[in-house]
Order: sequence, then C-alpha cells, then structure tokens
Amino acid sequence: MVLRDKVWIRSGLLPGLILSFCLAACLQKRDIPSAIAIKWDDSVATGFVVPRQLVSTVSDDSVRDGLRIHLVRDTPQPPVLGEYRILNDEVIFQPLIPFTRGLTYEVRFKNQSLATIRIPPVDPARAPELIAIYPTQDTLPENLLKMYLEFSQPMKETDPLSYVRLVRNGRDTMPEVFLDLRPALWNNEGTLLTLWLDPGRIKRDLQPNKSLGAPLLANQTYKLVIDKRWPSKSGALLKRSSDKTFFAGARDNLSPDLALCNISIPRPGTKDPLRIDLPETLDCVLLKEAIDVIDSHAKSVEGKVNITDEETVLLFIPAAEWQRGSYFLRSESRLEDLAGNNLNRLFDRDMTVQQAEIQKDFHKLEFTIR
Amino acid sequence: MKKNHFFVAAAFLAVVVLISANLRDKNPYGFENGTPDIQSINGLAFGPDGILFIGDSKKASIVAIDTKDKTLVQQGQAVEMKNIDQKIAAQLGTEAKNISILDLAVNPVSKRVYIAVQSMDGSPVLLTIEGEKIQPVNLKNIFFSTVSIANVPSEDAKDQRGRPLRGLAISDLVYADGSVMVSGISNQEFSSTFRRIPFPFKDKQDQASLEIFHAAHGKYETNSPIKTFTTADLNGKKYLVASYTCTPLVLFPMDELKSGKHVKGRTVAEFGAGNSPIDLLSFKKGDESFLIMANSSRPVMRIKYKSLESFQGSLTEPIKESYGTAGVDFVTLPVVNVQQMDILDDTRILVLQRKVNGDLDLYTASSERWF
Repeated sequence: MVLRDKVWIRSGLLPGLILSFCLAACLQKRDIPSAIAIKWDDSVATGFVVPRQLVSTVSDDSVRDGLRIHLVRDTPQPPVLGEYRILNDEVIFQPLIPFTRGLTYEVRFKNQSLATIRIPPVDPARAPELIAIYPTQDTLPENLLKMYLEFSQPMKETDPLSYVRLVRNGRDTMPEVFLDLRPALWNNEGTLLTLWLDPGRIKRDLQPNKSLGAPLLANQTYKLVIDKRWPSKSGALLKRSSDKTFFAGARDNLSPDLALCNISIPRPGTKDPLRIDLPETLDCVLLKEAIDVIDSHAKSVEGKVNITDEETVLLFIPAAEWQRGSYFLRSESRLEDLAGNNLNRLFDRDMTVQQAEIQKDFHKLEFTIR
Repeated sequence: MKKNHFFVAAAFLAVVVLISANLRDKNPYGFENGTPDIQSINGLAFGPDGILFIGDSKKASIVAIDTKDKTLVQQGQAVEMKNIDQKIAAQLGTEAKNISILDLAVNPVSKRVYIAVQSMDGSPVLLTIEGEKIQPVNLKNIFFSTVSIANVPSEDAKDQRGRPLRGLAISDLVYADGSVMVSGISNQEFSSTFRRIPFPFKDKQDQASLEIFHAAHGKYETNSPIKTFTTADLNGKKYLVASYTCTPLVLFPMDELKSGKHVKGRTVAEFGAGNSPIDLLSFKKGDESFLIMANSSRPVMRIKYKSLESFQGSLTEPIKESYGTAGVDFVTLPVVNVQQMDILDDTRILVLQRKVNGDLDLYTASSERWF
C-alpha cells in the first residue's frame, strides 16, 4: 500500500488527481446555477444579478427583450424601469432607483417566473437617530428664525414638516409655524435640516405677521416634537421620537458684535485652543462655517473649530503650534444670531430710523500671542 | 513664389474658417459629449431647440442638455393621468410614499411632458410622459454643458479648513431672452441669491448675482428669498414677476437685474397669510395676458397683466383684515392644492393637483376652464 502510494506520487497521478479535483471544485463553484442574487452597493440594493445560464439559450437582444422585473403587489405591476447589462455569464439589471427595502420583486423571463426576491428590511439596530436640535439653549428669543435638526444618517429629504410639530404650553399644536420650503434646506450629506420659522410672520408689519402674529410669543413654553416615523434614505425609521422644550424670551433686536467677544489667548509654542467667549448664542452652523483665524499676513491659520457651552463658546484648535505675533479672528458678515441679525444688519431693519449701514464682507478682531 | 505662398496660406485660412464655422453651426451651444454628473434635479426649464435646463441643488449647478426632442408640434397631446405618483412609483419598482415629484416642464417645441422625480434615497430621475406611457430620459452619452452656481468664497477667503463651497437650494429656474435665471436659498444664513446667467454658458461666466430685499410697507426691510418667479412684458418693459417666501408678489425691472448687491422688488399684491406661493406662470389668451399663481393654502389665482401694468404704486399700508388681501385685482379659480403647472400649448395648461380624496392627478386644463 505504501509502495503503491509512492508509485502514485512518483508517477504524478496523485498530484494530478488533487489538481483535477481542485479545478473541478473551482469550476463547479463558478458554474453553480445559483439563484438570482441581489447586487449590494454600500447596503443599497442597486440591482439583480441573473446567471446567464438561466436565460442562456437566446441572444443578448432576446435577453434584453425577455427579462423583466416586477414589483409584487396584489395587482399586476408594470416592468420596473432600468438598464440590462450583459456580461459573460451573467445579466445585471440595474433599476433607475435602488430596490426598496422590505418590498418583494419577481424576475420573469418571457413571462415565466424565474424567482421572487425580497429585499430585506434594514436591521433595526441600524436605525437613524436624531443627534441634536440647535439651538441647544432652553431660552430662545421670541423672534427665533431658525432651528437645525442633526441626524446620524442621511434622511428622506422631502416633506420634513410631516414629522415635526411645535406644541405651546403643553396643549396647542401650532399651525404653520415653520415655512414649507420645497426643496427643504438640507446639507449636502442629508444629515442636517434647517427649519425656518415663517419669516413672513416674524417680519414686523408684514401681513402674515399682522394677521397670524409671530410664530413664538414671549413668556410661553414650547415643545418641538420630532416623530419617529421619519425614515432615513435607506428606509429605516428613527429609533425613537425626540423633543426639546424651550422658553420664549425677549426679542433680540441687536446685531452680534465681534468686538464684544472675549478671547483667551493661548501660549506660544503650544497647540492650546484659542477660546472665544461670544457675547450671545450664535448660529451653530455659521459659527463653524463663517469664522476663521488669520495671521498678520492675512493667511488663514489651519485648524479645527469646536462649538461648546450652548453655542456661546468657540474653540479654535490650531494644526500647528502657535507662534508669537498678531492674529485676527475673522468672520464673514453673514454670521447670524438666533434671530437672523447678522454682523452687518438686523433681520428687519427699520428704514425710518437713521442707522449707519455697515457693508463689510468681513469683520475682524485682533489678538496678539506674546 | 511669394504669391503662391500667399494663395496657399489664404486657402488654408479659408478652410480653417469654414471648418470652425461648420463645427460652430453643428454645436452652437458649445456642448460637450458625455455623461453629466447630476446629483439632484430640483428644477426644470426649457430653452431653445429642445434644450432642457436642469437645476441641481446638490451639485450647485445648472446643466443644459440637448434632449434632441425638437420636432415641432403645434398642439400638444392632452395628458390625463390619475394617481400619477402611484403609476410612476410602480414603474420605478416602489411605492408612492417613497417618491416625490419635484418639477414638471413641457417642451415648448414637441409639447412633450418632462417630470423630475426624487426617490426616498435621493436618487434623481427624469421621465417623460406621453399619454399613459412613462419613459426615462437618457442622461448618458449626451450633449450637455454645465455652469456652477456655488457661492464662490470671497476674495481672500481661500479656505484652509476644507469647507465646501456653499450650495443653494434651487427654489425656481426659468429661461427667458437668452438667459437662465435661478433663485436659490441658503441652508445657512437667511439670504436669497438670484442669478441671471447668459446661455450658451461660457468658461468665465458673466453671472449677475443679486441680493434680494423686501421692504414691508415701506418701513421694515429684510433679505427676502424668492420662492418662485416668471417673466412678463408690462407697458413694453420686461419684468421679473416674483413671489417671496413670505407671500408678497413683487416686480423687478429686468434692466435693473444686471448687477448690484441690493435690489428691492415693488410689492404689487399680498395674497393673504398662512400661504406660500408654489408656482407662477404667464399665459396669453388672445390679446390678453395673465399671471397664474398656484399656492400652498389658497386656490389658484389669476391676475390680468393689464392690472399689473396699471398698478403703479407699491403697497405701503399693512392690511387690516385678518387673512385679507391687497393690491392688484385677482380672480380665484376653483382649483386648490395645485403642486405644479406648465403651459402645454397656446390653449391649455398642464396641472399636477392633489385632489380632495388624496389622489395626485396630472391633467390638462383648457383655457375655457381657466380663463
């Protein structure tokens, strides 16, 4: 037996057999007339992969003409619009929009059903969450202009107001408080929504303001409620409903002023943050976007901005160590407070009152590192 | 010998001029061939020769595409499609709740209907509708050109923190008199940008970018984002007829929209509180021109341009009565919840309407019914 084994090995019969087995296994694996597969692209079902052999007896054109995908419903559905690409041994169907999670589709060839495939719903553990509601303060000016909702995942962009309501004093749901903008104001990632309290009702003397009054009234308590039925772009609903209670305080009739900022100056040779205590809560998004630090040669200093303490403190963390010298905190004039007053002008300027109008693109505040 | 050289050079020059003229004739709009990077379709507007302008808020750009759809049709085919959202959803393999119709436009040459749809995941889709037939518009390997409408960082604000260029949510898009006009709203500061961009697009774009203001009754002035607009001839002068997000209807003389930072519209009407304009159209019937306005919480309104022409003032007094209206006379049509509309042909308007029973229907309204 041992001898025979040796003969086998010597003659190459055994390695040959092993090789043949491996080859056969590989080929078999490749040739499996496997089921039609879902094509996934970053957890999105972007198509079906149909083994060519399921429709192999005909030409490419016939495959394109004969293969159809239908949504499975109680009533017959039209073929799903999309593109058929024919590769060597498979046909890929890519619908115009990704397949919807939780729905079932039927693959037909020449009106014969090949398979029905359910796109699995999103794992509940991957449900999106509302991370923050800005402003984070619990006392807000009665002429508050904007609120931001920040989510952990890109959300469905249309009809956001279906999932948001504002309740006054725990009793009355306020109608038409937020402006129904189409398109809604999302950041590019689809994770940050800007809600405008109806500017027509905030603007003094305008007809909506006269007839409906301002959206918020001073000395009242409000609760912003976010409904958990709000789906993400992948179709998963919010993990939970959320709310934020706040009190409407006095009207803010002043433009923010950089000169009133208090700067805590870091030591040279460190990467300590530059701390700026703001004179009031400012718009959280604009604080991140509109402010930078420049050196005495007007060159922007590389670094990161963190906003803390209910949007009243800005920390600028430099990428490199601070050097001795003069610097400027620089802000684009579009930086706004919570009532939409920016560095140049008030949200609604009384034209009958003479005011020196500022028309600067940037406002600067100098500081020196010694 | 020198003479020969001269003739050869002249002939060569003539050939070059002829070839370039020929190329220009074949591609008068400076299109390139390829696949445009379109990330969203928020607005549609037709230009000349079947050219479709697509407003892409995500990419902060306007894309002009050659649809090749330029066979002249005088009278459009009436479209009657009930539950259009369900029908489109079925063809896209999903349910109506997962799609939104963002805009529609009728090609004024072929009278074919184009519809911009967005799925829940944000995928943009461009479709045509003919009778009961819904078809995708091919956006691959086409002739197109693109212009950016991103807010360019000011002069020395060259960004060191890698912040993206600020985009705009495109609220409306119109082509008129050789220019594409677009209104956009920022998701950051409370402001409005209105751009007027000559077409064909050029490498270095001559964009008139304006900040739009509104003076409420001559007293309080604010920035005022434009929600929707159209253009019109009034007393022989061209005007932009616009509606702010805060409801008033305002006029801007076109010749004042060339440049500048601070432009105020003249308020000619206020249509009541708790309402937001959705769409504006200019429609001509016989010798009479009308402005048609669809609203979020009020019926469709019809205004004679003659009334706008004769209304020379500007509203300066606040309206006393709750939910009252003021300014030019208008007629309220018995049509509510109109989401989109466009002119189908000389006598008809295409309407997308959410009916009382909740159905979303696309239908053709005849001028007898609306005028």
